[in-house]
Amino acid sequence: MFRALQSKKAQLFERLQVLRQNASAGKLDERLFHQIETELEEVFNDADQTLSNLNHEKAVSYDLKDSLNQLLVVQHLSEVISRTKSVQEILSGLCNIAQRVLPFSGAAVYLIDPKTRNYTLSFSLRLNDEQLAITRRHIDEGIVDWVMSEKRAVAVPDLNELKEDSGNARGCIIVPLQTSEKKIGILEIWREKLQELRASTHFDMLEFLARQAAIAVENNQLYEEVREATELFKKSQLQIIQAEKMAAMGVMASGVAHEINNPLQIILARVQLMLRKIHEAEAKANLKLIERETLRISEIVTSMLRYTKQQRQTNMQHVSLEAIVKDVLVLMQQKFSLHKIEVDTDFEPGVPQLLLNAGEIEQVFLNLFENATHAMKNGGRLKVRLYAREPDVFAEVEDTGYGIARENISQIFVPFFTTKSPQEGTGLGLFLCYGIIERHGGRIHVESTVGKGTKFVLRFSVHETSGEGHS
Amino acid sequence: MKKILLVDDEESIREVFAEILTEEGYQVATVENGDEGLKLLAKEPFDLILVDKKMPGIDGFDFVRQVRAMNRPVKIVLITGSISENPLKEVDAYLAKPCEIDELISMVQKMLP
Repeated sequence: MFRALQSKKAQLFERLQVLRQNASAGKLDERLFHQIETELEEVFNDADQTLSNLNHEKAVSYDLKDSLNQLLVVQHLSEVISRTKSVQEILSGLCNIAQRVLPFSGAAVYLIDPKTRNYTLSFSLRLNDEQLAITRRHIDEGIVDWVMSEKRAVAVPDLNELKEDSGNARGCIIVPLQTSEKKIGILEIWREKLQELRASTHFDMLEFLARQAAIAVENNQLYEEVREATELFKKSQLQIIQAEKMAAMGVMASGVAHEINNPLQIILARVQLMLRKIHEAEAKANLKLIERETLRISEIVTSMLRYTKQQRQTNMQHVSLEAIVKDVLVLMQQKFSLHKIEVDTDFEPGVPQLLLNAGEIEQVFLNLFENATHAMKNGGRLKVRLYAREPDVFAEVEDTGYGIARENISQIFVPFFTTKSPQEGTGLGLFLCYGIIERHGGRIHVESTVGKGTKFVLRFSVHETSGEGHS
Repeated sequence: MKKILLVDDEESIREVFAEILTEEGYQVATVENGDEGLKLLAKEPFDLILVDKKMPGIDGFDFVRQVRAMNRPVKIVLITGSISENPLKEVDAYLAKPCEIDELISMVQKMLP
């Protein structure tokens, strides 16, 4: 364009030269004059065009510079986030960088608690109590939910200010923190003047930053979950190792105890026989000492046997499930009446006997009844059903208690999972029940509705529990 | 004089129990295993059998069942380390090992009034 303009300029000068020569010769070449006039017009037009193109290029170059700046900011955020280990650091990094994209007077980040699904204030910068209360209201009044569903940043003017000057109200921008699959939380940015924004660019940028931060927070939460799960796994592994140790010790202790009993019997009988015959004081005193110590050894052996009894109780016997359940109901009677719990039993006649470890199955029902009582602290109805459906026998324990929250259902058989306080529960009851039922070749599952109650269904296979070799 | 058969694989226990019961005025025969006990029972009658549960060869349980199969009017006391497991209805009473002399004597007196 610029070169064309210059060649036109050269042409024009040549024509003007001719015009001047003609004019000095006293001839006014009208045609040439008009030609020059037209060409001049063209040159000016072209010059205008060139100038406007130049301006455009300059603008493009500014935009490029902006983009480059933004890229640098993003790169910086990515770096901050990839180095970051805690959620707090991620959020503080996010706010610092958002500040560079869009200067603000204050900011707050609310994260959704992975367990309770509630918004929790997780980070705030230069916001007073009143402003924080307003951000809280945005959550309570559903504005945040709406922003989350819109999946984009939204400006929310401060309603108090709006009356005075709607054009230049202060307010905040709510930016969703979400990954492609998961809502993580929100970032609220406070601005003195909302209208000064070059909305789309700034919002795009904030959304982008928020998405990066959301991914980082999610990764962090996942990492935490994995860490917790690993810890739990390690713990339960230790528990299993401990249980195995106890079992091995039990077997050994009971073997040792039996071997010790014979020599103990001989010593004890001999000493007591001598005590009957010897009357000399010093000898008698010594014999008494030997007798006392022998009885002490006997006492230790007995308690060792008692302690390991649970490990040794592996006897499977053909028993009636009904008899076991009735026994446990009798045990719990006092507790039921204390908590005003009515008990309904529905035992189908002719349910076949099962090969069970009665002690263990008692433990299971005791646990289920205890849990039901805990869920019906203010009274209720406990329904216990036994029935056979070839080839299985079913036992149902149903309460009218407060039920189990949906998100907890899958966890109730996990060791150490409990919603009770440490004084009330260890989180091992249902885990042990599960293990016992599994060992019997049975199944246990749960159905529950919050506010209505919980039903545990136990299934025993007659075939499984009538075979041999269970020990 | 009431006759007692003591079946125990441990010699020292046989000796001391026999001594105690003899002093109490019972006639005591001792054998070291179930087979010998059954042989002796086939030859002569006894009023009471004291038998250890844990013995090599036929154990106390098997011995008791075989004695009951002989259909003799004899009382049987099983001596065992742990009474709680597997109670046997063919047995008249259990004696926990180790027992004190007084326990042994009063048990025998109860069985042979």
